[in-house]
Amino acid sequence: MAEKINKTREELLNELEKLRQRVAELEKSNIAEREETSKAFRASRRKQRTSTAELRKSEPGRKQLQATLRVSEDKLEESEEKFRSLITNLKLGISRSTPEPGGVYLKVNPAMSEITGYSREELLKMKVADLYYHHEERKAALGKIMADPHQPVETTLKKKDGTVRMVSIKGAPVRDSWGRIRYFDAIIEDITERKQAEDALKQSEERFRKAFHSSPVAMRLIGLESGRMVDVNEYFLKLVGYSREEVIGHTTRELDILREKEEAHLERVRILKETGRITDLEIKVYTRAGEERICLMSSELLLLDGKEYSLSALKDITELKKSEEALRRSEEKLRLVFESAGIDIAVTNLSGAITEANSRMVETLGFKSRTELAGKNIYEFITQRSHTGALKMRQTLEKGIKGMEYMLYHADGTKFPGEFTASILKDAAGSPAGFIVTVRDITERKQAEDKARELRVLREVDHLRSELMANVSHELRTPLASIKGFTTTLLRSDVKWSEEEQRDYLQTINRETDRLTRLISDLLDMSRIDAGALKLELGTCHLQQIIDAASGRLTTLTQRHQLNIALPLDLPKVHADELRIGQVLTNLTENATKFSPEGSEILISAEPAGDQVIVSVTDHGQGIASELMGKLFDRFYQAQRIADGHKGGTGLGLTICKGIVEAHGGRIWVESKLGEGSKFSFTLPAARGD
Amino acid sequence: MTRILVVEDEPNLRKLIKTNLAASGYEVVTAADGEEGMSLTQEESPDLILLDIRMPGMSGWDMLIALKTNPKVKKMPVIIMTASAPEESEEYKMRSMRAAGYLVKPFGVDVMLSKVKEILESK
Repeated sequence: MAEKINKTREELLNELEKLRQRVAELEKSNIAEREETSKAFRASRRKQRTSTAELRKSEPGRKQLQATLRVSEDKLEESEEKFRSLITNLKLGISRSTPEPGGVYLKVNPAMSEITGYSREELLKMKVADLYYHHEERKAALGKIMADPHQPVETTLKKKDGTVRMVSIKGAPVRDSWGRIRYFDAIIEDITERKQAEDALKQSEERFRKAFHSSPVAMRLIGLESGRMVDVNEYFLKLVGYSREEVIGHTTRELDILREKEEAHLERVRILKETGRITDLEIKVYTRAGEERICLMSSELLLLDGKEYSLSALKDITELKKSEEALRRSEEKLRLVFESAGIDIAVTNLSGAITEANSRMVETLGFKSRTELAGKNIYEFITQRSHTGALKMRQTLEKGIKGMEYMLYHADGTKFPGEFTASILKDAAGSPAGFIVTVRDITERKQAEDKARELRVLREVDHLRSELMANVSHELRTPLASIKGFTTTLLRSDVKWSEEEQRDYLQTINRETDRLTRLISDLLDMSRIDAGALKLELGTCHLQQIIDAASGRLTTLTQRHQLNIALPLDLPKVHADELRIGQVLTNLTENATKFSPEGSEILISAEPAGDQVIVSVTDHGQGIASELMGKLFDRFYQAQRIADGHKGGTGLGLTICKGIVEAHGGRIWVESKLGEGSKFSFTLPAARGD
Repeated sequence: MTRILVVEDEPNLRKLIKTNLAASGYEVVTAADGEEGMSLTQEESPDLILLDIRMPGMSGWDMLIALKTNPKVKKMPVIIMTASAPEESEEYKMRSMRAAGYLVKPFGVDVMLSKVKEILESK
């Protein structure tokens, strides 16, 4: 555009110069021409006159002459008009002034008024030098014109309103026939705006230049067609490792900086031409040392002096890329660990919401996909689903959990045992940001553990059972051994036993037969209790009646002890099987005699307790260690105790008592102090309405 | 006179065995448990010991081992009395090897007497 203006201006000036010369010629030739014209006119008049007769004779010829004349006059008029219009309409001031330093305008065109702000009349009255910003500048300007009339002089004018304008003056001295300067003709142009624009351009170019060279990114300017580097900045040189001399005037291809194929380069040029820019293109730059640098390149299409350039900025992101790559790799590694660790892992935020989970975790918790699981709270999967449960869980999590076992919920609502581990995840600042939670489905382990426990119990049971069998067999064989032994004694033919001896042996046989019978009935009771098949013949009776019914056996048992019975008068009747409760009493009494010294008291007592009656058998024996009391009623324990203590009996007594009492809806327990004695108690339901 | 030590915790059986052995002309010493049995062994140096296995305190096994590891009395023949047949377990068999013989309860007096006679004669 500026070019265009320039050209037009240049053309105009040239044209004007031609015109000015012509005006000068015209001035010179004016008189002569006029004389010529008038001569010609006179001649033509003469001709006209002489020819009038002829013309009269020949009218067509005269008319022809008149027409020719008119045409020539029109032409002249046209030419003068053209010149006038040109100097009137041009924004170029044209003046003729006298050569002395002050100078006086002789002629000015209207544009002069426009440029100076003075009217034509004012201009013609004032000194030319007064128009200059500095008075003496006119002299200087005239001097320059004299020195080189083709070189325009730039100077400053002061307008009427006081503003200062930059002007360009192109002038020429006009001399008389003696060579003296008669006056100066000058063409004046106001170039203030153009100057300002030029300055602005200069400044912007300066700014660009500075930006280019001081930019913290590498920059280069390349001729788009030639591909040659026109300018580069220090950073670019630093990036590629070449010196400025090695780079300027060369193409990147020549230096093999990009090591790219021709097509790639052409494609880039095409895009640049089409869109005007390329943004953040990742390219590889090879330095002089052959090192590869990864850069982000942005290019801009520039037009300078009608030529296309590519201005590129390259940002070296190699280190960034490297650290990104390292980070990506480390993340990948971590992800791989996360995924391939043989354990279910989830990452939660501080409130327990799952942000990440590996596929095992997704599967274990019963979800179809990671996204389905994401955002769910980890507490939801722990059996304590309640709010307080979640709070408690959170507190627990914050402390860190190692291998806690919880029942966990599967997505379908089923539960499974899981081993739960939680560790606090800290952010870069070291404050807690969430939790890393691992879960292990331990269903199988639990099952195996349960099985192992069952197996252990079974083995124990088996062991105790064989022990019991050995005991029972021993207890059965002892009376049998007596019976068999004394029977064969009596059958001896080689010995004659006295009658007293025979009677003694037969009594022993009788007693041992009873003992055997009791043992067998105990075993039967035990198996009935085991099978839950103990049949009770319930009736309403007083405890005294039961004691009375068992008195024979009780008396026999307590022959070497002191048996006391203490029942309160207001004791309610009980609802019980008379024989069975009698059996419980005799069993307890028998135990008491076994474990307390001869002559000591054995007390049978009772007391009402709500709708129940508590019956107790107290002895002053050795007592029972507290750790053994819980096991007393356990059949297997009894079997073992028998083996160790061997106090006779099947050892099933207490177990049978427990079975009988429980069949009545009561309970049996023991209170004991080592060295002071034991108190066995059981409850019976009191009979109603009696 | 042949002296026999009977170690048996059950009074009825102790009496039974003592009566019958005495009736057959043996001199009988009785003990109610292993400890008593061991001291009587030292004091009386019996020709034969009838030993019950299942006893509270020092059992028949303990006493048998004590006897067989004491060089002074280890050649003394022992008949063990047990409620279970020795072939029921390997362990039982091994231990009973050191015994001269065994009687399984309940046994007839005749069986006992012939076993005692057999062991004493094989001495």
